[in-house]
Amino acid sequence: MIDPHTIGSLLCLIPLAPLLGATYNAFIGRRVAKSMGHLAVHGVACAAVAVSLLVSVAGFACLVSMPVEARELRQTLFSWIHVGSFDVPIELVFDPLSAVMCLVVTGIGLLIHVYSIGYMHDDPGYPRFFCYLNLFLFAMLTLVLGGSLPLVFIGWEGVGLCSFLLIGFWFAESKNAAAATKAFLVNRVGDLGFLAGMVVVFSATLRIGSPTLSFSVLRDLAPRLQDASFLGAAVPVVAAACFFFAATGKSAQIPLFVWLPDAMAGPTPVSALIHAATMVTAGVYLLCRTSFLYVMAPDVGAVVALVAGLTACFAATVALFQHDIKKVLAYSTVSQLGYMFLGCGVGAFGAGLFHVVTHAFFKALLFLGAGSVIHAMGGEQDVRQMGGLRKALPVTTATFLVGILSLGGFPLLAGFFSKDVVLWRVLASGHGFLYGLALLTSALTAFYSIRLAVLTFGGAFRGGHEREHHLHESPRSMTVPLVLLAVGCIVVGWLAGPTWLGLIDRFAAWVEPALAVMPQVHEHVDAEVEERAEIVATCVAVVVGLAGMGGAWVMFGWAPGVARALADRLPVLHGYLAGRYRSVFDDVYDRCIVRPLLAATRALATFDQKVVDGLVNGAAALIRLLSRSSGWFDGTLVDGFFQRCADLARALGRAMASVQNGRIQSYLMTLGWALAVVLLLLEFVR
Amino acid sequence: MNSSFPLLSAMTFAPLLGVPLILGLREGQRSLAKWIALLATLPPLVMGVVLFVVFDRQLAGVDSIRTFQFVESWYWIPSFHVYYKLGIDGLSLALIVLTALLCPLCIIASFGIARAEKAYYSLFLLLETGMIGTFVALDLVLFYVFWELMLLPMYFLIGIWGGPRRVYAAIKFFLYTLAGSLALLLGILALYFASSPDPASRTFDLLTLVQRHDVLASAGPILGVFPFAGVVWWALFLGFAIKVPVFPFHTWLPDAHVEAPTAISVILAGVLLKMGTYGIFRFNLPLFPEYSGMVAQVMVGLGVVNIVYGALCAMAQSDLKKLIAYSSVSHMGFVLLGIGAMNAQGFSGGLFQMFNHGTVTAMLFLLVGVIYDRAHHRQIDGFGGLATSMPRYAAFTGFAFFAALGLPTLSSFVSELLCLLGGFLTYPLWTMVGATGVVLGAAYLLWTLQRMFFGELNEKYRVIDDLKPREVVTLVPLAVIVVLLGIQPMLMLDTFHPAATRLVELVGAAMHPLIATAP
Repeated sequence: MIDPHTIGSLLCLIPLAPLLGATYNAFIGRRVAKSMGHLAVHGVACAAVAVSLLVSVAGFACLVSMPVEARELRQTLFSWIHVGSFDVPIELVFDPLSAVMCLVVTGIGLLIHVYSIGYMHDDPGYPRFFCYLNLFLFAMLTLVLGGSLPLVFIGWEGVGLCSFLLIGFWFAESKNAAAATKAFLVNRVGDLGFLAGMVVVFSATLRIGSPTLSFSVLRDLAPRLQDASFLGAAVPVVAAACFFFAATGKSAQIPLFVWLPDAMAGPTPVSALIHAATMVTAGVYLLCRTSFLYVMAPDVGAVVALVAGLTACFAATVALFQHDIKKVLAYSTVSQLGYMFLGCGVGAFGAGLFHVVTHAFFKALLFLGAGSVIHAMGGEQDVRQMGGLRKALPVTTATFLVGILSLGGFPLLAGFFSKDVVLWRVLASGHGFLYGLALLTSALTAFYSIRLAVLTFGGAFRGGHEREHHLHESPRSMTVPLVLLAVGCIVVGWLAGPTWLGLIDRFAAWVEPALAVMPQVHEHVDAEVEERAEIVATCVAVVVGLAGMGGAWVMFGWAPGVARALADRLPVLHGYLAGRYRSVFDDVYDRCIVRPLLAATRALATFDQKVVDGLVNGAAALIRLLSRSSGWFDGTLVDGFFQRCADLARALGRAMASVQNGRIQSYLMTLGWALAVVLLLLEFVR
Repeated sequence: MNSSFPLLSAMTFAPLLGVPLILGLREGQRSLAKWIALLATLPPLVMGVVLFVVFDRQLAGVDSIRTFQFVESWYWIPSFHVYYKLGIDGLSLALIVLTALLCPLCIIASFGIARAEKAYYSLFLLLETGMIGTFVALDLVLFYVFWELMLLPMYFLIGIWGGPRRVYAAIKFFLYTLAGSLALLLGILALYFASSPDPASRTFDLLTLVQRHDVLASAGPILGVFPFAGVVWWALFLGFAIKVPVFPFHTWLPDAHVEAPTAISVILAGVLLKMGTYGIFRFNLPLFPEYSGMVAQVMVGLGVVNIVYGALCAMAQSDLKKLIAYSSVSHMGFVLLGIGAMNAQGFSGGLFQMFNHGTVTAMLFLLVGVIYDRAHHRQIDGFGGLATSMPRYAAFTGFAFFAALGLPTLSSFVSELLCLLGGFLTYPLWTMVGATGVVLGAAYLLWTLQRMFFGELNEKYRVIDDLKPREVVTLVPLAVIVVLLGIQPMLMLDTFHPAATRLVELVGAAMHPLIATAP
């Protein structure tokens, strides 16, 4: 029996251990590594993640042993911000939802750390890489453990920072640096939504007299927020919309997905960990965490589902035409994230979250497999230069295939189960259009998955003799994580049933107490009818998926000429689809936002210099003019008058001065004359 | 709390002790000037730390002398009721600490000055006295004396040790600020004459005036038509707004910054700008609570314009120092937004933002100085790939940029969040516009980072010195504070809280109903 209090007080270790690891590698690791080699770097980094994983597992075990309704561990550290009614303690919450995320993040995080030992072996930035990776885990774990919105926001922006640092890891190339900047900026736009949602929620709770941003309190308060309004709309609607906007940034949905394909500029383990398995699912996590808002705002849910469906489908169509192995996977990630949001949008938060889990396994596997391929190819990422790699890379090939089939929805693999649940819940919620869209997407997914596998591993090598000679399977530190993830892809799907095989949906049972439940819109359907319908839906999904896979195999494996011929028949269309199509959003943003904004800033700066400062300088010039004219007035008129007076005085003085000539005789003579005059005058007066 | 030792006077005038020592140096001993100056700035730093530790975080200050701390009061010019009166509360403590902290760092950053050192360091010490004095003075005349005392050394420091256009910049700074001072002086005189109908009980004592704020509110109109509160409020505000600087009175700032030597830019942005917002907190709000409430929305509007306009102008700059100067305009907008919010979150946020901007922008200007010393230019596009040749410099700059764009766990995030939150509670729409500054700020900072540090290395700078220990010494304390206050902001917020609450009480009742419910 594990004592909940003990585990509760250890919770802070989950994020802190990687933070300490990051600090170590930021300041000390490089120096220690000089004498001890790489082990001093990755040893600490991996150990830190292992600690997080261990505590998470212990916490999970502890939760399992607790009664369902009491499953929650909590640790309050100190008051972070407390100003008047605004009180944010540093509070970590470990409930079924955060437990799932913690296990995924630390588990897959550890595997990717281990993988990086081999992948980054020759990189001069080895300590820096592990520092960033650990820092990322700190931020991500803060995100999933944070008990209130501001705390989640710390993680939310923190993962954005790490994403920036890791996309731009090889910063000496301008392309990478530009991708990093773009990622952070687009995410910041989304973060604005998060901030707005946060302040809307706070002001609403303040108005009903119990200001808070803590999830557990908000969840209880939620019904009272229904009547509160903000700018004419109900608060839950506004807040839910804000948080979804935030999620479209972090989790790469329309309209803010544009950063993710570019983010592939980072090292491949980063793409696997951050841009596939964990960070990009933060948006889905946020929606699950705030699910109590979404169940009160079904209209927002519908928007979420629609946006998600369109994103899933659009990204899948883009993925069909990519030649860069990582780009295919990147668009596939965008598309799969769409499935997760689709689930959340129709109120099936558990299903969306389950897809997060399975996707983390198979997409991490695929990226790491792609990394292994790139490693063997000496940095080449273009599938047109590959082919036939199955001979040289047997382990990579086998595991990659498991991942591809899982992604494509091959029956009984992880991706199949989770996607099936989402599809079924979309259908059951009565969104016919969205179901069609999702089904189409799953056909496209199956198609591009097999296309990628066939182009990479099938057929003959197309990269030239020189390269073929150098092909080699990756070291053990890279293949072991691949194998473990492949095993995960085979096993993990069974957690969720499927119910029509008579199994229990353990995942739903585990996580649903932590999620809000969408009020049932439709009248209750007979369970038996429903079960039959679900089986039919599953069969449809299987058929569609297999058809997509078959089609791809025919076009690229069995008769490779077909694809070429088709492309030659429609050169313009194919040229567009393989070219500008993927950056259609980028182009619009560039034309409608970036360029006008830059023009506006230049115009404003000129305005500032010429007009605002011009007024100041103008005022100064005016005063100078005034002073000059008053100077003229003063000098010519006022001073002129006195000057004339002075001249007069001087003339008088000069005249008088001639009298004072300093000769005693003339003085005496003057005196004599004066005496004579005075005497004469006296004589007259008398 | 009345301490027997005149701590505030000691702190204010301690730097002046260095001046005769420096001036007395003979020609051969000129290199000692910087060490004496550094030594002279240390007592205020130590006393600042003492103040921060000893400061009673329960007392509000603001409007009652009994809740001010470290008060000193002597008659100065009895015939005009002028006192030598010093004291601090939550509004001033952080700024005094900030000044005491930045001055020694700036002296260290000035070690490279090689022309007329004796004059430079003497003027700098005089400047410190003026700055600390401004923040501790509680008598309007005394305040004005310190306020003007600061101007003079600043003028010479820019005008003599500045860049190519230093004379233009110095005169512009001096005259512009003087114009503001004039408005301020007229306001002060008006306050004196309105303080009481009986000439015998007129006063320049700030707190007495604050106690009589209802007398001021009902004072007869100026020239028979202009309402007293309105005219005096705007006169004071104009004086302070030029200092902040509030749009459209900001254009002296980029010029002064670009021409000023590094350390003076740091002081200018780190301390002098805060005097504007400090003045609004210290004078406009307590003296005219009602009128302040009436024009709150104007302040919010000006704040939002500052945030957005400053950020947009920053984005268009090609000179790194000018970019950071405009970013100051943007960041000081948050303070105005916080003031206009008229609630505890806004006030505390505004006060905290003043401190945080002081530390962060000090780092930024120090970093600009580093690259200017080496490359002798500041054109953002003239660099490229510097992270390869100056990794430590790149790391510090990256840190400072992320601090400036308000990354959570760094101090500015907390203050900007509080300003936005406070603003949102009273003026949601204005605040939403202001919040876009968060994105714009990230845009110009990251774009700059990308152009200067990433991409292909500019061959000209393949061999260039990375940060020297002396430069690291100036940056590390600031970085530590930025992180510490990001994680544990209550260390600082605690000192603001009683004062902010008291201000809310003063302004509150007449204002938005929300404020009454938000303790």
